[in-house]
Amino acid sequence: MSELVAIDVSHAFSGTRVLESVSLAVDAGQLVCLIGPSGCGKTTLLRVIAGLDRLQRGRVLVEGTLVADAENPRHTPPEKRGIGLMFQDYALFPHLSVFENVVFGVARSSERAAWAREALARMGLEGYADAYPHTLSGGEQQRVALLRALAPAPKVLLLDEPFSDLDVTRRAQVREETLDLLKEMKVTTLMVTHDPEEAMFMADHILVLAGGRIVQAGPPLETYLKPVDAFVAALFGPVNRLEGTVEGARVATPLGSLAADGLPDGIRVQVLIRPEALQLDTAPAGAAGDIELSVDWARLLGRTSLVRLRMRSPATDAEVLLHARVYGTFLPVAGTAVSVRLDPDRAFVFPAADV
Amino acid sequence: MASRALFAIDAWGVGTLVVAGLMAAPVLAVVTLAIAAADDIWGHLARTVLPHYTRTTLALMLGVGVGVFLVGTGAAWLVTMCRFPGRDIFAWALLLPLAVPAYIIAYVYTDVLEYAGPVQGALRALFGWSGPKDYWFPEIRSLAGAIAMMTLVLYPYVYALARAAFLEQSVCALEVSRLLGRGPWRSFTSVALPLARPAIVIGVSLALMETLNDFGTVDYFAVYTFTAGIYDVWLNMNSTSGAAQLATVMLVLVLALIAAERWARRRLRFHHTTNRYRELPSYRLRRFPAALAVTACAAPIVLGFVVPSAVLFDYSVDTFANTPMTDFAIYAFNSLTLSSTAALLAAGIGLFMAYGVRLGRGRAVRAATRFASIGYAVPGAVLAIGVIVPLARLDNAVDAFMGDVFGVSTGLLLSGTVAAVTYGYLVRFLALSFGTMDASLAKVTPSMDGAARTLGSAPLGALRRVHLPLMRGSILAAAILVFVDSMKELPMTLILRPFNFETLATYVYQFASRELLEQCAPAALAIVAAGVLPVILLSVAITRSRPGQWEGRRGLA
Amino acid sequence: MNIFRSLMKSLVPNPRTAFGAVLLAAVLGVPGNPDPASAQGEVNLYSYRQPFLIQPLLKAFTKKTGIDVNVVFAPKGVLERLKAEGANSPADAVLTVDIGRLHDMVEAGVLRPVASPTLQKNIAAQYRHPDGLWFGLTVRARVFYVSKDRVAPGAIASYEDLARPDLKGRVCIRSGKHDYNISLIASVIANRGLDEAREWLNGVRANLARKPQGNDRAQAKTIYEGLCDVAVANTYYMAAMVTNDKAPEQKMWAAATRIVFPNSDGRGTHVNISGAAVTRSAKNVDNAVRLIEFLSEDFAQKLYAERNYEYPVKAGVAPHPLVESWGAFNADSVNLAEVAKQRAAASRLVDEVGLDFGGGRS
Repeated sequence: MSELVAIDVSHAFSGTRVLESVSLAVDAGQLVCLIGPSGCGKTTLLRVIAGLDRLQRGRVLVEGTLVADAENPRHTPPEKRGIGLMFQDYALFPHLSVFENVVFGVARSSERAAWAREALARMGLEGYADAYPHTLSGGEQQRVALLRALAPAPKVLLLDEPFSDLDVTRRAQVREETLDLLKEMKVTTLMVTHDPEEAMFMADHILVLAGGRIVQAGPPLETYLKPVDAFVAALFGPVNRLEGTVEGARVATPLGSLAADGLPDGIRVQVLIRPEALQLDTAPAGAAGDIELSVDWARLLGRTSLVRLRMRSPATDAEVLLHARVYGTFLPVAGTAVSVRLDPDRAFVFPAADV
Repeated sequence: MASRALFAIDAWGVGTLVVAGLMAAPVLAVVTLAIAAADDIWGHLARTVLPHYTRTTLALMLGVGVGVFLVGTGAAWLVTMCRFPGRDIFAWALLLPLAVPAYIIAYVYTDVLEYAGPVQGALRALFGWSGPKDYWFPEIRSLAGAIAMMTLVLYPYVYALARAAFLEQSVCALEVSRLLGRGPWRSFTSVALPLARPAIVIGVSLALMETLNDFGTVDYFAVYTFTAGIYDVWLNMNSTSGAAQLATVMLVLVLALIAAERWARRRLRFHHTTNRYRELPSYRLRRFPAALAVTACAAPIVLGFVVPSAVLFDYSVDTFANTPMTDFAIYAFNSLTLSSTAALLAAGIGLFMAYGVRLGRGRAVRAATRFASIGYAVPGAVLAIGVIVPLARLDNAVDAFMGDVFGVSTGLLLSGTVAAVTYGYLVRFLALSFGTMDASLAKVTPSMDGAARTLGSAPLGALRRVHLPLMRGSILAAAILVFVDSMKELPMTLILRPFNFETLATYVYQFASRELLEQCAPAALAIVAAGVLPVILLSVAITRSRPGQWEGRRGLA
Repeated sequence: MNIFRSLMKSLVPNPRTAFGAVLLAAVLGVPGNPDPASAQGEVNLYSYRQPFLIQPLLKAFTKKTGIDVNVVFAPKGVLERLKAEGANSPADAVLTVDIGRLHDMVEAGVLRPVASPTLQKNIAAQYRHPDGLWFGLTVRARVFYVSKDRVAPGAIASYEDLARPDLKGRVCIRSGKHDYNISLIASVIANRGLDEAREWLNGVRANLARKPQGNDRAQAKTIYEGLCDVAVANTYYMAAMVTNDKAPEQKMWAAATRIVFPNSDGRGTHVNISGAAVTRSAKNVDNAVRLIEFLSEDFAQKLYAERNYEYPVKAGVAPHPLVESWGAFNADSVNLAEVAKQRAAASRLVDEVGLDFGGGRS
């Protein structure tokens, strides 16, 4: 059974539509990520679900109970919904100690308070129980905010960009700790983020929100490998863009021919190629379909190498720059010719008007 | 940001509306009085004195506005950002002139500076002048004199708010400015000052509203302002409605001015971009700059507080023996009790309304609270009439109802009681409290409300557990401002009070109005003295308003 | 400390003045005002007069009659308070320092006619309302203070003289908008008509030595300082200065000046009254009338004369010897109610002429 259900939620601020008929469901213990660019309405959706903003259209159910209904006006106040919310800026109370913050939502003497003390210890914060929030580092503050939201044992936890205030080196570690904790506690979670890697890492299920609408919903893998449009495809990072025309349900590119399923002949299409779809080899082109391109430059980024290639577009004769991401250290000298092979699973064809 | 429908109303919203309505009733009553026809008052005024009144009023407001801005902001910047001998004392002492009523400082300086006063007397003795035609001396009873007097007692509003704003500014903005090559002075004018603008604007507008309300000083100095015109039309032409019309026009002008300022900075936002705070840097001043800073800070304190207090003290030495101590104690008791009650209630109501607005109960509520706090811009005696009319109507309606239903006459239950006086103070000074609370609440980030709510606190619980502790300093500041102003309040107390009820201010007035200040000097001194302790507390409250200041200390303890 | 002991003592025997008791009463819904119905022995007064000036008289009244007097003093707003409170107003009587307020109250219909043989006997007809709506209690003459050194006896003898060209730069007066001056100007309008009054006031403005300001006492000071030679003021301020031991410098101001009763040989010097009236809402009518009668009797009239240096309204009661020493004068015989009717016109005239903006040195 779905713990959290939102049906047909729409919301507007002074006439500007922010959410447009959004529906979603989060199953018990599941972690759903809502991903989208800044300003797409993610935070608003969380606030509406939590009851901080009044629902304008639609319904919200928690554990099957209607908590908000715009049609037959009903608005359970946020404190009665059993929904936890962790804010992007953490919103720790500066006048309360770390421990007082964590137990803010529970009775002092209850077992949850005991839980809070244990949880603090587990997160390595036992030494800070009596400290004040502003003396803590960002990562520590994040953990306090998370524990505070979890302390009352909410039926549903909402996370608003929970890692965006952390520096990159910390982020991965905190993210993992958070995921472990949530999974261990089997917390039903709806998380908002604009970071695709974060979403891929955390989510059981990803919802892509664009212009106030959910444009794609599915498991991470599917979202990554089968984007429904160019927008979703580009959400996961920079892509190489080429153009072409469909002929016989295929589109020809300088890098090879790709399937254009379901698209009629003769229409203009754009081809989106993920950088990792280009497989490079310093050996001369051997296999059929491989082509040779000149290296512009190559840079090592750590786990991967980024290589920029020059290519002349057969259609326009203009010079096109392609980016390829190669695992490990792959640093050919500028001007070197490399053979390029296209992985068709990571290249997508959409009608040109779709952009 | 929450969406605010026009009429999204619940218990909090209704409560806020009701309270706002209660507080706005007297202003509405004045506006209602204005609707009645007044026989050609306007034509007459426009043909004769209105241009003069308007010119004088604008000149007075401009003078006082510039004066309080320069003194208040300058002093605030010096004590906040610079280090020089005596800085810590100046920090609170600069608020002291707030405790001196404008009409008293005007009387004192007239006594000191007029022809027969000690200053001119000494000059004559020194230079051997024999009469007023031998030399020139600035006339204290003039527009310039009025500007000087009001600046001296009103600059603390700007000082208090500007200092709080400077203390709250994140150091980062200033450091960025310094790194981009701007010196301390240009950093002040291009970063600190614009950031503090909303606070300074509130301070200046409070001072200007007080200026507009003032009648005692301008009347005494024969400076004919719009307010003088209001009283003239009311008392000499016996036209209450004409006076109410003038007052309403003045009110509209004040509102337009405030709206214009809001509009001018509509695109600017003044939220803090960071919530990290560090010890403020301070420029250590030495030698000449330090001496200059000490002079700049000492001058307003000496002129606005020390001199008037000393003169009053001097008078008191002679008249103290003649002061009826028992009566005097009762007046002091009345003043203190009345002012503390008003201060507590104003703080409570201000907080209630500000929080009601924050809960986002629609534009109607916000508009109502704005309207409820403009009593400050209505001259006291006119506002007193605005209090009398609805109160008496209510009393008479209750009396009629009780007479019809139970056959008993209840008479006037509220009119002419201390409750009426307290109500008057609230209506008049709510702006001070509401403004302070509203500004203070704005500094609590909205996500803290959300955090408290999702953690199971109802709005009232969130207020108690989150906002109240964070706002302690501001609540104290609001209560103190109302207290000090209530101690000084005169026109409403005179008109609204019950029989045989004197406060220190009314007692002083009956002598001061006959230019016999010497005879009531102990009482005048008591008004000033009663303001000193709260003013020092106010300074503490402002210092504490700096985020992270006391929490940090508690954390380390 | 002394203060606290007296405070505590004062709270017990005199609870009405204590804040707490009144607040408690208000909270409990008991009228904070003295309850008019049950009050046998009291009278409630709204006063435009400063309490310290009338307190000795009221104490004497209470001592004599056993009737308590409760007072609210307010310099403005009393009329509006009476109007708003209506029939339930606790006020029984009103005291004013000027005919203007009495006139306004008559117009507003908040006064009640009183038929008292005592008052009719004690107060000359010109100083009371024909229907007994108000009664004058003291008379104050609006006179000139002139410089003893610089003004020859008889050189300035009438209000009209103030507009004489040879007095240019020599005249001082307080604000034309003050009640006393409004009344004076109204009396000129009542006697000479609006046009002549306007011409006259223009002349006065042209002669001003400085912008109108200060109170009457301050005008004497300007003569002493040599700033002007003739000032318009009420009589009793002179006496107050002559006898002022607390501020002895005022004796010097007084010594520099002499009093002139303008128009005493003609239509008479303009006089104003301080007066009293019984309100329409009065619950203690008898007590209120008794108080006003008391104030019109020899004892109170003498006290008025001695303490406030005003002219008693009752024939046969002598003014203070000091006041008497300035000589007798004839008062303007026009009824004060007629003067009061011209007050609004007088106020407008002050605006038209710009009297308060006149004077070279401002």
